[in-house]
Amino acid sequence: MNNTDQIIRTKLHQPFIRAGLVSRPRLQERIVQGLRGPLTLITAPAGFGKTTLITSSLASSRMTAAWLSLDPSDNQAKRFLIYLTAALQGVDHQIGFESAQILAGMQQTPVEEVLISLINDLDAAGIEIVLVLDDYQVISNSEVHEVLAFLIEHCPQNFHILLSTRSDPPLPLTLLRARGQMIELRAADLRFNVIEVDQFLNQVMHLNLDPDSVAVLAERTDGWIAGLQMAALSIRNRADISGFIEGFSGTNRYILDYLSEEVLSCQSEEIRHFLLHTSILERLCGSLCDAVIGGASNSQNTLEQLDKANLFLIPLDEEYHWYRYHHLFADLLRTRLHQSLNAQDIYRLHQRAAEWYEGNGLIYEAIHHASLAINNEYVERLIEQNYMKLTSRGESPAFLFWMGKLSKEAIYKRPWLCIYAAMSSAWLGQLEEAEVLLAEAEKNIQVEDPDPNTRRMLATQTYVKSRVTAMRGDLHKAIELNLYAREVAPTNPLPLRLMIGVGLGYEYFLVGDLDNACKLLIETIQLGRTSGDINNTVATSCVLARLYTVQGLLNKAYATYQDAERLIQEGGGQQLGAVSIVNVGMADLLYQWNHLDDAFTSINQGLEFIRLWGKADDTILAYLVQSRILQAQGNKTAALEAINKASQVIRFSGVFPEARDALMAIEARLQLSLGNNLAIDRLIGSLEARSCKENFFTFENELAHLTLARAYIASSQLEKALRLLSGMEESARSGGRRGRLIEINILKALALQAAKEPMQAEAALLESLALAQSEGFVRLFLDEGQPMRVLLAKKAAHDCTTPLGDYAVHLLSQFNAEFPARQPADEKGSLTGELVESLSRRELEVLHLMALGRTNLEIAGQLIISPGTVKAHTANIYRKLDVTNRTEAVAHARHLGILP
Amino acid sequence: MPEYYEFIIKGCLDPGWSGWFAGLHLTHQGRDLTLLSGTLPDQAALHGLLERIRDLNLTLISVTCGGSNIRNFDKER
Repeated sequence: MNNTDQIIRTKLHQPFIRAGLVSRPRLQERIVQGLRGPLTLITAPAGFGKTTLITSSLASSRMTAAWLSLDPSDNQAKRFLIYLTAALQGVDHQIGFESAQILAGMQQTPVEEVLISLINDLDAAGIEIVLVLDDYQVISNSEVHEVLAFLIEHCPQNFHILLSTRSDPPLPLTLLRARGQMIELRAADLRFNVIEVDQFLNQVMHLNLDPDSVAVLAERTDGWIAGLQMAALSIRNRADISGFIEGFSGTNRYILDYLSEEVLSCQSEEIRHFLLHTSILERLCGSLCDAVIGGASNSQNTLEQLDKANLFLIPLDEEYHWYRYHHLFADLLRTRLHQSLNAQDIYRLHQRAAEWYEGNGLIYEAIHHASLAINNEYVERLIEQNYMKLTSRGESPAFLFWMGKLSKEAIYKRPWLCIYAAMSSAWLGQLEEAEVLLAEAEKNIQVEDPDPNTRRMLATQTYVKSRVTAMRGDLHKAIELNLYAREVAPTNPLPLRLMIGVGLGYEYFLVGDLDNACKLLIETIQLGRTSGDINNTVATSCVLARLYTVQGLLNKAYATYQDAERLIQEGGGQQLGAVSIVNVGMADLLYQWNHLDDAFTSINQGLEFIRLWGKADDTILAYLVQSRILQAQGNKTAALEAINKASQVIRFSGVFPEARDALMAIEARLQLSLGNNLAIDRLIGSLEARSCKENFFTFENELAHLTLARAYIASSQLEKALRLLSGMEESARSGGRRGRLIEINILKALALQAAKEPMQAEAALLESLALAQSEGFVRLFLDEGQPMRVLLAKKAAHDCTTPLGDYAVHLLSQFNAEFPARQPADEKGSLTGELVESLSRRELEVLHLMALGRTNLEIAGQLIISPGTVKAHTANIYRKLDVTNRTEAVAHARHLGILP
Repeated sequence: MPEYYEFIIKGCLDPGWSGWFAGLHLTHQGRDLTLLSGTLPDQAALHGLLERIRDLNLTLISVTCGGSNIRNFDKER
């Protein structure tokens, strides 16, 4: 297993209880009681035996427990949630499966969504589960506190949180106490009483002390377990026990001072050295200790010795590979360390630790120690070298966290940090921020005679700049930039070349240079397959498929999606984000072929995890595909909802022209179908203004022109329409854009029909049929509605024997299947006042909320289930009620008396 | 804003702990109290210090925030 997994395991490992401890049934019972409710709080300073008490209580409660030991680096919502999910998954693999995917995929963490998913899973788990959060006092981040508050607030009946901390956490404790939702144990409860002190000293440590000595020690330590342990260790090594007790009780020195000196003085010089030097580490293993101490040291051996001698070493896993010091002991050792070594020497220790961690692939820990070594250069280098790797695993927020610790000046000084920050911003569509960072980076890159590292830097910076430039709309400049990036980029690393490849290929596509685009995209896919970089390869495949669609090659496009699907499966099928965009692409093609049910299934699958992909452009395109499918299914309300979602996304994020134009085109078609003349005139105005440039009939302008042509037709400006369409036709033909050519000819036919030129109209129709037939286009025709139906009927009437005539007949039959598709609800024969399959209780709840006008998201929030689950329920409701949309569902339900 | 603080702790801490407590001056008061005194740069440093006191399970008796006058406790020893 890799090293990161090892560390994770140590955090999730329930500490091992040593045999022969003082049993505290009274307290254990209280904890077991507390575990019936949502929160059990144990608040006491270090050394009060909290962890021991918790582990022994869990053993007697027989509840399944998940354990999470917290440390200061968990002060970040995403990291906290990752570990939380990992801990719960250890209990039951089903719990947190979806959450883990969401966390793995996204740049930004949708905290509430992750929590709701977790809570649902916990609820469904069916067993009593305890989550122990140990050392909660390290958490100071308010977002993490909010996560916990949310969990407690929405705690399922079978889930119980046990918080162990040194200070009261900033949760609504008073409220929880008042509601009886919390049991707490505090220091006063945890102190050993005299009986327990006696048990510990005499029965566990076998010291054979008389009652008076026991009483003195109990008094002096005030029942503090750590103090008692120290005292016991000191006594164990001495001959003159009464002398010790007298000295101990007679001094007012801080007892740990006194006792630790005693304990340490009994150790060999070698052990003392070991303890002090390794005290800087949060976790210890043999090889790490060797590295920190330097020289020839058999640290593994030493650790085992210390463990046996009960010297405050706590094993962290079952193999006894990793340990940590008891916190207090570590604090004591560190103080002494600072007293015996100067600052430089201590930095050196941290440096050695950082290097060991780096060498073993544990980058966060390496960065932590590098910053403690006050070695900013090293910190920055670690971030630079590992950014790409960790970003591809969705961990860039953590990097942004580390970068947030560096000042802006520090970032600006180091071009790599600027470039990576710019890349993140660009991916999130935050263009202004990206531009500022790119400018700063540029200042510091030496362009003349660059070495390989500088070339990589230059290539990356130019790639990001190209992306931003393309999103700003200047595609030709963007292509120039990416060509340069391609030239400058070294052969390795591969991910960079892949990114440039798909970036440049996409830009060629957007500008209409389909030949170059195709060549480059295919090349990039080949490269991608060998590299194992599934995400970039799939992204490239999807662009290629969309290119084939524009070329009218639907079957080739579909095959491309299938290849991509296979690639993902072969790689293990983990990349749910990549699976999503493939599903969206396939949905689009199925829609074109009018396989609406399959398209519907596909788009729903795609939308389920599209957020894991995280790119605004693909999200928008997904919603638009969904809206077209819903529209074709007659579900106008939902179709509009989907369009709204798409426009929401575009409000907050920069996008490429493809998504922007697609949204514009669909919104415009909606306007046109509503027949609002004012709106149509306005639309025409804005589109005409836009195309007032040279290079008129380009691919870049094609969608806008198609929309303009439709608007002209709708407002009966047929001459203008035809003029526009003929210019577009020439351009599409020479550009090899057969798919668009079909659409252009369809519009031409409709315009000519409206202009009362039936012969020419038929010619245009024939042209479009000829182009469309071999690839099975259906929706392009169906989406034009009645006028197209009339045209097709005319054609079919006098020709149903030629292949084209056949095709026309086929299209007509699809029309008939759709219009009239639905009879009014109350004419359906199957209605007898009863349902064939009755609604489940949950489905009824959803239906009630739907009747109140709640959106899916609101319903999800109210019922505390995931939006995906809501969708599944509504699909079932529609099926059972034999309807296709909300309005019908509610109406039908009322008719049946299911709703009042 | 840097401020002068005084913390009174139960028990006698060795002066060697000064580095652990942000370099504050450590003196013993009476038989069983320790006084930590000195300036801290800001509230964050104050809370950090309070955490360290907590982590050693020391009993905090009082915290006062004074002006910039530095009292000389050596006289009282």
